[in-house]
This record gives sequence, structure tokens and C-alpha cells, in this order.
Amino acid sequence: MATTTTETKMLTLCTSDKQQFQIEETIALQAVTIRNMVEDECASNVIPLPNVNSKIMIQIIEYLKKHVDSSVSKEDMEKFDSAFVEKKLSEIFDIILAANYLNIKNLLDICCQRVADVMKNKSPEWVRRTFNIVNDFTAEEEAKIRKEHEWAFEGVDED
Amino acid sequence: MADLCGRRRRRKYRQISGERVAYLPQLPTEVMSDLLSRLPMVSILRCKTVCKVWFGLIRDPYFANLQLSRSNNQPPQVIIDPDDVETKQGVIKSLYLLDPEECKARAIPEILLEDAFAKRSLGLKVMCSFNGLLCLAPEKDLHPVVIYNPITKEYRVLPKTKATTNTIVEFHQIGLGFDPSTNKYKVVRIYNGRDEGGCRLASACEVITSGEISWRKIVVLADTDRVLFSGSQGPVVHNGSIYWTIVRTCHPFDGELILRFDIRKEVFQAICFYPYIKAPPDQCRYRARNLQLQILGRGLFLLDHDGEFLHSWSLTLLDSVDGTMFRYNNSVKMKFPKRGWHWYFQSFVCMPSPGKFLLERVESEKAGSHHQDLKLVYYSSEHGKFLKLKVSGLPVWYRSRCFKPSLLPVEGVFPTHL
Repeated sequence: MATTTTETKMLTLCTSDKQQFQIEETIALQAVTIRNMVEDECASNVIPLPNVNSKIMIQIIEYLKKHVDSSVSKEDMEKFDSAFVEKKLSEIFDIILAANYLNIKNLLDICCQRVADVMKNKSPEWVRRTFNIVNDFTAEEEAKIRKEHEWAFEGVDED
Repeated sequence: MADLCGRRRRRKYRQISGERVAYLPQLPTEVMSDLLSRLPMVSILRCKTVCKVWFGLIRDPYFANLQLSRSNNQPPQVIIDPDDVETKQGVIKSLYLLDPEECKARAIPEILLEDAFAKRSLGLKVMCSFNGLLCLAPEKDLHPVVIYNPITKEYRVLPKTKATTNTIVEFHQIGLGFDPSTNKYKVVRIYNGRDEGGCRLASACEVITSGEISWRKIVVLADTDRVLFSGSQGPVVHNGSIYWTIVRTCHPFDGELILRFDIRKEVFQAICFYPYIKAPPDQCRYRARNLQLQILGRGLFLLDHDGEFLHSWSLTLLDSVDGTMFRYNNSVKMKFPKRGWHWYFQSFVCMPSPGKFLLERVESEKAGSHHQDLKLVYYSSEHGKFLKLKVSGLPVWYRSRCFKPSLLPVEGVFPTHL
């Protein structure tokens, strides 16, 4: 507190593939999971993040660095966010998993919204294929559920 | 046809699916719920057929609440209420769900009200919409009042009134709202009528809370004999209050007012239009013609049009020591085309975004022609232009109302232990 030269405290994050990332503490603390680890002092200098790989970590750090900057206007931040989520769905899914683990609410929000925007108006078949989901309904069961809301199936996008 | 087409496409897809299918990891269920809750309601209903896990997620009450909490961020939907159709089986109430962005109206299969109500339910109208629930009731009768969720197709008929049955109801208005302090829904109704001798009676009001077995009588406005409702749009629910635009009679300050019902305290408040509303710059005293309340985002707006201009004011509720006060801000002013058009303005339906209005207008081929159509039209203040919504499959005459589809269970809101 008394020091005039503000020394930025650094944290080292270690990803699942044993890569180390040195980032400023203020940036890293936006992730609630990291903040809890630091506050509980259960972490030493190196914070292990076994659920995040380095490829995703780079993108998350890019996001966190932008969002820690209070000089960025609201519009610019929105622009950044919408450009940030312009990625392949598989990548967005990886970021969602990491954001969920690291507990970064805004990032989780924008990524979920991005997936929802893509899914909007798509057929259940498209959704299953894209999400790699096996249809575990019997044909009768599916037809029955579909019949309950037949009207909602009108005007589905062509795949 | 569409199915055949889909199948053909699927086959084509499979041939190339080897390269295209990327591995997507399984998301935790809470993240999946979050994701699904951001979809428009029609997509959510379709997703129920994807797999058993998703079906279960969507049916969960947690999901219904999550979806509801997000519905403010969804583009507004419109419920279309045409005249009822009477069949041999009973009275059919059919409704249409319109997505203005998609320009598509989907007919929601009719509900067939139980036989006991079939005859009396003739002329059930959508009186108000709140949290995806509709309140249906006849305009000139006090019974039945039906709470209906058109998405889940669940409905509940509220208890009969204990009010004197010899009142001839002339006008009936109902509001549905939520009291967060008790976690309960309330229905409030105001009606005007005459006694058997034809004498006008003062406006009466009743309220019922979810779980209660009978309506309770309350006072509308102590200093007012009768309130008359202006417009056919019904009330707007905003921040724990239900609002109507009204005209009051037999009072020294007759004229246009906003009637506010505090859902928690169960008290009414009249908010004068004059002198709080600032008149447009070129008019010294603004004469309200067709006041209407609308919600945009989290704000409450008062709209009016005078044939040429559209005026809007935002209403702010201020908490002060002596209760509540309203502040009116003069905001937007929009130009309507000059007269000579073969149409007239009917009402505002919703405001999808700032400066964009969806409105109903009545058109005829020639000025003064008897054949008239009701059309939904967008007005954008930015471009100063009208844009007709080309919606196929709409009934000829209807009332449209802003609606937020939800999966809220009616049983949970108004349980049937009666």
C-alpha cells in the first residue's frame, strides 16, 4: 500500500497440457473459480487448471484482458463480444465448458447466446446431428411428443 | 411435402457427414438448460423431441422459471385473438401466436372448454396477458374467468363471484399480476353494470389471490363513482403494478387518467394526465386522444397519436416519502402520413425496439368503403416509414396483444384444491 511504484501482481496458470500462462492478477480474478482459489490461499504461485487446455486458455485470456479494461466503451465491448463468438460451434462448446469451470458469467452468457442464435429455427434432426446427440425416443414416443406441439414445427428452417 | 424434402436432404447430408460432423463435447445439464432457455418458444418445443435428457430438462419447473426470466430479452410475440367459433362439441377458442420478426402466425390448437362452461364461454376474450398466462373472460359477464397457458394448453377456471347476480354487466376489465413479496399471483377485475331497473351502478372491483377460494371486494377509487376504460388493449403489468388508461366521470377533474393497481398493497391510485405530461413544443396544452400504455425493455411508456404525430412519454416511478410519484418525460415525436389514406389507426400492439412500433390499422379499398380489413403494420421512426407485415393464415378480424410465451404451469399458479 505504501509503495509508490505499483507493482502488478502476477499469477501463473497451468493448463491441462502443462503450459504455463503468466497473467496479471486483476485479469485472472475475473474468473470466480480463480478468485476463490486465491482468496482461500489454497493455491500457491501456480494455479492448476486441469479442465482447460492451452488453446482455449489463450482465447479466454484474450477475453479477460479486454473485459478488465474499464476504458473500453459499452459499444466497443459489445462489438468485441460479438466478434469474439464468431467461431466454430465446436470451439464455442470448449469455451463454454471452460467458462463454466472457471465461472466467468459474461463469457458463458455470450457463448450460450451464440449457440442459441445458431440453433434458432433449426429442426430437431439438425440439432441432434450438430450436438452429436443420439435420439433415444422410439418412433412412437417421438411422434407423440411432436403431436402435442405440432404447430411449433411449422416453418422450420431447411437444413 | 416438407417431410419428404427433409428426408432427401438428410440423405444427401449423410454422404458428406464424414467430414462435417465435428465432435461436440457434452455440456453439463445446467449449462444446457441455460442454453435452451435462450431459444424462442417454438424452438424450445421442437427441442423436446431431440432426446430424453432434453425432454426432461425442458419439463423441469426450474427451466420454466429460467425461460421466463429471460423472456425480456426475447423479441416480443403477439397473441392473436379472433372471434370464437361455435361447433356441435362446444365453443372453440382458437388463438394464433405471431412472431413479428419471422412474419409468421401459427394457429395454436383450440381449447375445448368443459361442457359446463361451453355455452357460457361464448365470447371469451383475452383480457390480459402476463408471464405467458392469458386471462380469458366474457366482456359482459363475470363468469367464467379462465387462466390459460396456450403453450402448455393447461387452463383453470377461477371460482364464481359472490357479487349480486342481478347486475347486468356492461363492461368487464381484468388484470393478472404477480406479488413477489408473497410469491403469489393475483387477478383483479373491475366492472361496470346496471341494476335490474336499468340504473347505472358504481364501478365495482374484486380481487382473488392464487390459492384463495373466493373473490374479495375492494374499492376502486374512493372519490370516483365510475371509471371508464379507454381503448380495448387491456392493462399493462409493470414492476408490481397493473396499469390501465381510464376516463373517470362524476369527479371535478374529469378526463384521461392512468389507473394503477398496486398488486401487493391491493390499492388503486389515479394518476392525472394533466398537468404532469409536457405538451409537444408546438402545442400549449396537449389534448390526449387515444392513450395507450406499452412496455419496452424494462420501461413503461405512454403513447398517443393525433392522426399526424405519434407521441410517446416514458413513465418513471419514483419512491418518495409520501408514497409514489410519476415523472413524465416527453420523448419521441413521429410523423404519420397526411390524411387521404384509406386507413385509420386502431391501436399499438408492441414496441419491439426503441423507435419501432407494431400497430393495428384498419384499411379499406376506397375511402368510406364498407369492406374493411385489419392489418398489422410496423412503423419505424428512424426511417419514418410504414411496413406492412405480410402474415398468411390470419383471421379477418381479431385483437392482437403483446405476449411472452412461457411454460409456467397453470396448476402451480392457481392450484385446484377448490
